[in-house]
This record gives sequence, C-alpha cells and structure tokens, in this order.
Amino acid sequence: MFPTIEKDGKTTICLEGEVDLAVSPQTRRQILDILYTGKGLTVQLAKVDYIDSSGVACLVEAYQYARKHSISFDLEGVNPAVMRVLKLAKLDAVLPIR
Amino acid sequence: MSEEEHLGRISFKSRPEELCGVRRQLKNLLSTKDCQCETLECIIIAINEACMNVIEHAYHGRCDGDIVLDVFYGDRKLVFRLTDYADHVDPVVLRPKELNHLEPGGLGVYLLDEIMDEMRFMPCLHGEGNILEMKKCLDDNGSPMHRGCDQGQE
Repeated sequence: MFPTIEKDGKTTICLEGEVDLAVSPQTRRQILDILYTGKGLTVQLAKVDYIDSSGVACLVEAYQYARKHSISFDLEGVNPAVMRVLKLAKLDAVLPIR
Repeated sequence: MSEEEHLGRISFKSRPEELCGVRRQLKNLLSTKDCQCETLECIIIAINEACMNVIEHAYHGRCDGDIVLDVFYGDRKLVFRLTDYADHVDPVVLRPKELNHLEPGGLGVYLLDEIMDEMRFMPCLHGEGNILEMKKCLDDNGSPMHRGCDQGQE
C-alpha cells in the first residue's frame, strides 16, 4: 500500500519506487478505491523511479473514472523517468499534469 | 555482414517480481556499449514491455515458465532475442493498434513499436514456444538512428 495524505477533502496518494507489473494490480485497486469514495485525488509521482505500461494504464483508468464521475483528478511531481513513458505513449498532453 | 557479439544472457521465470532484476541486469549489460542514457532507458522500457507480454499473453500468468533474453551487438545494432517455451503466440499480437489515448489496453505493444526499429518472431528450433527478435539501430555516438527515444527526452 502506498501512503496517502488527506487534506481539505482531497486525497493525495504518494507512489514510489518501481510501479511495474509486480505492483500495478494493487496500485490500481488502491487508486480506484479512493475514487469510489467520490473524493478528489492527486497522484504524487515524484518518487517513482520507473513506471511501465501497466502502471500507466492505472493512471489512464483512474483518469477515465474520475472524468466520468466529475471527480477532481491530477498528477503531480511528474519526474523525467515518468515523463519519458508518458511522452512515448503520447499521454503527456492527455493526462492532467500539474 | 559483421559478426554479432553476444553481450550476455539473462534467464528468469515468468513472474512479475523478476522484472525489476531483469531491468537492472539489462542496464549493466548495455552500459558496456556506450549507449546514450536516454537510449538506454528507452530500450529498457521496450524490453520490459516485451517480457511483460510473455508473462501475460504467452504464459497467461503462470509463474513457472522459463524466459531467456539474449543480447547481441553488431553492425551498429543492438539485437535482443527473447525466448519462451509457452504455446505459440499469433504474430498479430505484435501489430500495434491505433492508440486511443483513453484506452489502457495495447499500450505495451505501442511502446515496443515506438522504441524498436525492427521486431519479428523467429522460427523456434526447439519446436515449442516463441522467439521474439527486436533490433535497435545506433549511430557512432550510441544514439538511436531512427525513432522512438528522442520523443522521451525532456
């Protein structure tokens, strides 16, 4: 489980390390469970050293869900390792990055 | 045609938990070839995706399958041969779909196709499984000659 921070009715989940196929199923579950409560979510990625397509798929699915249910959702602290994959996938202009 | 130098072999089981170690070993192998950092990182992304595909789509999540990654260098190309012993996979799985940015599926093959210059399934001499060959062309500076990695640069 990744640590979360609750503030002003919004949750921040702080992903860290290598978000790959070994951890993405649990990560997906944790992110979606937060969104199912209806609270806004920020995914903090500053401490992510590596992310693969299964990790990116979690972010895409979360963004889709949040958009459909009008829940606030964004990515924060996108570092070069994460941005590399988002750019290759041409998702850097699609996902809400701040 | 110049001879290929065998840079090394990484053998592992079809468990997601193995992928982290595979990436580290691959980085060590490629660091001997003076690849540009960005190129190296992109290649690791691509090979990781290929290994994931084997685990998910060839072994269907079975954790006891054998996977072997051989790395060669020759004629300014890095050549990767990924061997598994699962059922034959339809080569059509390597055809990248038009990427719909709001659909998670298909992203792995899309990344693989973006980064690698050539990909093909080779005939299996051992009669079972699959051998996926992937090639990445480099210039004299260890930079990619064609496409893919430059898109990931900051």
